[in-house]
Amino acid sequence: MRLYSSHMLRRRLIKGVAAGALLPWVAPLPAQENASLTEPAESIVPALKQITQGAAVRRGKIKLEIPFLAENGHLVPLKVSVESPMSAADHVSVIYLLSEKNPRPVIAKVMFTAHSGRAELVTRIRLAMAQRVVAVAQMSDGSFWSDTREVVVTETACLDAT
Amino acid sequence: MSIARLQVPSQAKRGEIIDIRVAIQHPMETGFRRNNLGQAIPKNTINNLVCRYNGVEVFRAEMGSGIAANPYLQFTIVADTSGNIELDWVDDAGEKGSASAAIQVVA
Repeated sequence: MRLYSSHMLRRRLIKGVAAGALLPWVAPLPAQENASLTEPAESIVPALKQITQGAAVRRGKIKLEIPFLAENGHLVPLKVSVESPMSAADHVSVIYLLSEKNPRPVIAKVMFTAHSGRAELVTRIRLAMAQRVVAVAQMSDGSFWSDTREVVVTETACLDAT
Repeated sequence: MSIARLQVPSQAKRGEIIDIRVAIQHPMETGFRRNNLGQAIPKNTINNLVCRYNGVEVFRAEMGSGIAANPYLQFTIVADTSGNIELDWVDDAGEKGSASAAIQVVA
């Protein structure tokens, strides 16, 4: 049994082509988003400079996990982990959590040692509004690695003087 | 005096990576809020938390107003000797708190 007669199939094809024609408007959006993620937001730059003292920050190694939609900015679960052998010679020494639009950009500074086993932290943060959160890891060799996540916040954590 | 809950497995194998979970009852005042008289409530967050394993520092967290009220932290350490896991923290008002748990390491 055929599910579609030939003219129904043609209609589907036409619809498909029409949808495809709309794609040029839709497609560049994710690409732009990715491009903007490679550059740290302006508001983070001073804090980042103070942390790195001018050293280069590369992407990779560190993984930041936050739900894309945070309904309540007062309590946003967050997990950050870094790939590292965590030996005395090669371990993660510091992880910085930075926010783009909170009144204070530095959320937390967390220090690890070779005794930590894994460079991993789970906590809950406050977010003032929809923004990007940046995690920066400083290795024992002095190199910096970062990851960025975009979060949509529907209810702000800042009710006064944001 | 802040109330805290520290969760550490009571027993672990030597070399095992164990989870340390801590939740502290603390308002983590941002310093941006006002009371009902319109006066600013001063910032008061736990600015320093140290975890020591048998007296050796293994983890430290400096937290600001970006950490949610009643801070919760979960991190790991390598269990290598039986002993104590101690947590000490201090907030902006100078109030100190601590929690500790014993761990037994079996071969």
